[in-house]
Amino acid sequence: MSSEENLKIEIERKNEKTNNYQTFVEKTSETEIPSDSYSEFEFADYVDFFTRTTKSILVPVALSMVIVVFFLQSIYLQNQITSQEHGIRDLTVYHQNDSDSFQKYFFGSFLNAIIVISIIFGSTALLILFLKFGWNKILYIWLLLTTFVVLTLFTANCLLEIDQVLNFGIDWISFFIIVFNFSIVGIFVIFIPKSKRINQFYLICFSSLLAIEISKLPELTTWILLIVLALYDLIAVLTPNGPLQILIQESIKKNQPLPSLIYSSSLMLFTKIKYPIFKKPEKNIQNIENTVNETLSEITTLSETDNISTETISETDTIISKEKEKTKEQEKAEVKLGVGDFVFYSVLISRACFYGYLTVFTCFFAILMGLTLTLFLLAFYRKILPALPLSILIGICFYFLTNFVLSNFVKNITINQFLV
Amino acid sequence: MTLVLFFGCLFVAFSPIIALFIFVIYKEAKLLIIMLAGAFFWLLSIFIASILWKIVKPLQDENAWSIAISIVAQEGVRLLLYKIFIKLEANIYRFATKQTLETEKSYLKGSLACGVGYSFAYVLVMYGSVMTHSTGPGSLFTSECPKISLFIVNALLAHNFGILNILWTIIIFISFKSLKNKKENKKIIYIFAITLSLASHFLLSYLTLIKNCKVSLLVNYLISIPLAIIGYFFIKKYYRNKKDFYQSQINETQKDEQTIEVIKPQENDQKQDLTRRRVPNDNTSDDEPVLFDNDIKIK
Repeated sequence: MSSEENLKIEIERKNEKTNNYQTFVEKTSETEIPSDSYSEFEFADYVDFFTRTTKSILVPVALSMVIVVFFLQSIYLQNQITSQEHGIRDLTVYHQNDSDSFQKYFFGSFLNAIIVISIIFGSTALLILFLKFGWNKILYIWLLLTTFVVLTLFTANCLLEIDQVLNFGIDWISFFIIVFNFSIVGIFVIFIPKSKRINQFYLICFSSLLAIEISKLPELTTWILLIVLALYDLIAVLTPNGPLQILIQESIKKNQPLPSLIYSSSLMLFTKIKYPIFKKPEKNIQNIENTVNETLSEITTLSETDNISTETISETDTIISKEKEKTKEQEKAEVKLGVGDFVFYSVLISRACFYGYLTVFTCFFAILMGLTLTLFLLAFYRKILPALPLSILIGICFYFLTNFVLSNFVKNITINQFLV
Repeated sequence: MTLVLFFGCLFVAFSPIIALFIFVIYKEAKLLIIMLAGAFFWLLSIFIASILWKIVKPLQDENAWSIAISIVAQEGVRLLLYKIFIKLEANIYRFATKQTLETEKSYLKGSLACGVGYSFAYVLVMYGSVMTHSTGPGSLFTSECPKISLFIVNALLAHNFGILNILWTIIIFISFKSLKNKKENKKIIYIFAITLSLASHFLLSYLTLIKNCKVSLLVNYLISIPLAIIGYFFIKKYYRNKKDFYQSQINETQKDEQTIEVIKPQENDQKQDLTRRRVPNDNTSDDEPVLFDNDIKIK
């Protein structure tokens, strides 16, 4: 019978494609959904999860970039600021004179960038050392000191610059109170993350402050730094015995979460739907400082949403914490991105900002597009991936394209007053 | 003229984009990604146009040719974006919106997101750098338009072009999709709509060469009215009833805070006929408009 043959052919075709969730388009109305593959509901929830995680990551990155651009354009680029001689420029060995040849300039700035990256590398080595020997207290004290330094000294610097430009005048008592309170609350919130929003706010502030400071490096050093850092990120994360993998193995061995500065956007999910189970991977983090620090990523797992979890949660109805009372039927999932990635995206934008506004607009879209692509790859591969290289690649391409090509075009348009 | 002029120009130029962003796009995460993709593709188109402009030296003197090249690039990349969007939509998003939207609505909202992204990048690049100069202590006036400040004229034109970019993307997306649809009878309307959008783009950008600000502004707003009407009727056709058209959508951010029960079909229940591309509705009939081909053919 032709209809039976047709059915058989359909079922065969169906079974060929069951493992590939991308071929949902060619289902027929008469065959059943096989139970081995992802059913449509699961795939839909998977896509929903992916889109919501991208949104939760894109918004803070955009916010941090906007803060950095706003601050730099309105305050740092005014002429009233006296030149910064101390700060991150103390790290640089080579300072450009006008009479230097291009070769000397290039190699000097390359040397400066290498210094910064060797600091990062040394800090990873120190971290691995501390973890292997189990010196957790030193680790935590180190991290505490770095956050304290950033949140006090860098905010103080920024406030003084604002004072110089806006000329509003501030006495040292109120200055001290403001900065001290800001930093202490930040330290508490970053290391004991109970409230989601304030934690995120402080991490965004932290990353933008760091970026503002790092953007005061000379020009070619920042470009070389970004490129070499992207390559280092790629190598450090993806190599099987690289530093990141060692750290993860250590944390798994000791069943301890790594102390690190990570931005996590937690989402609430529904337990009645069976989500695809995987270890939720994260992006790599490179966080640098004037002092030495490096932060790393964690692995969180989405627990299986079987009957077990719902039963236990419904039994334990009278739990103390408020979150669990609300989330009777909910499950928490997290996406994590390291603060170092925030920092270097903002550094790229700040470098674009020093040239003009057009580069800012184009690099903004380039960075966000790179981030979405990396998140898509993350959903596809389900491993830890480096977040820096794609965005920085596309950002640098767009920066140089706009400088050499688009700016003249747009200038021609605005001068001749027509619209395209 | 200080921050007053700056904020005025900003809100005049960006208001349609900001409004649509806040009330439509920010509520759904996938539309945000589509908007980003739209902006990215517009940037690619303008890079192509500017590379050509830089390479071919004689173009730099004549503005008419640069307009032609950039319009061709923009519309070409819009078509490319349509094709990419179709493929993605067919494979992913139609199944991702089982809770909130039907398939036509998801397609329409996706096309709206593309349009908003396209126009956002357009207005930013074309007008943003001008707008940032308006924070200075004075204002610019040109001899062709001595009473209205240059920043405001450009802001009004950018406002209009922003709306028009959204409309062009919606019209082109819907008309190309309907041309593919075999059940559609009146295909001439869609061809007319495509030609109208292209022609209006050419017309309006060449009008700006005339440098009479009143004429260009008037004609801009006059031409955007029929396009808006066409867009309105195109979109309204694919909603089942008036209530659907005006109903607001579920806010996705509420999902994060509330406990909304989602019922997965139990094994005892009859399996829903989800293999059809269109979400089944009991009130459908063959006469109702359909954007997608629902008959999946078995070879």
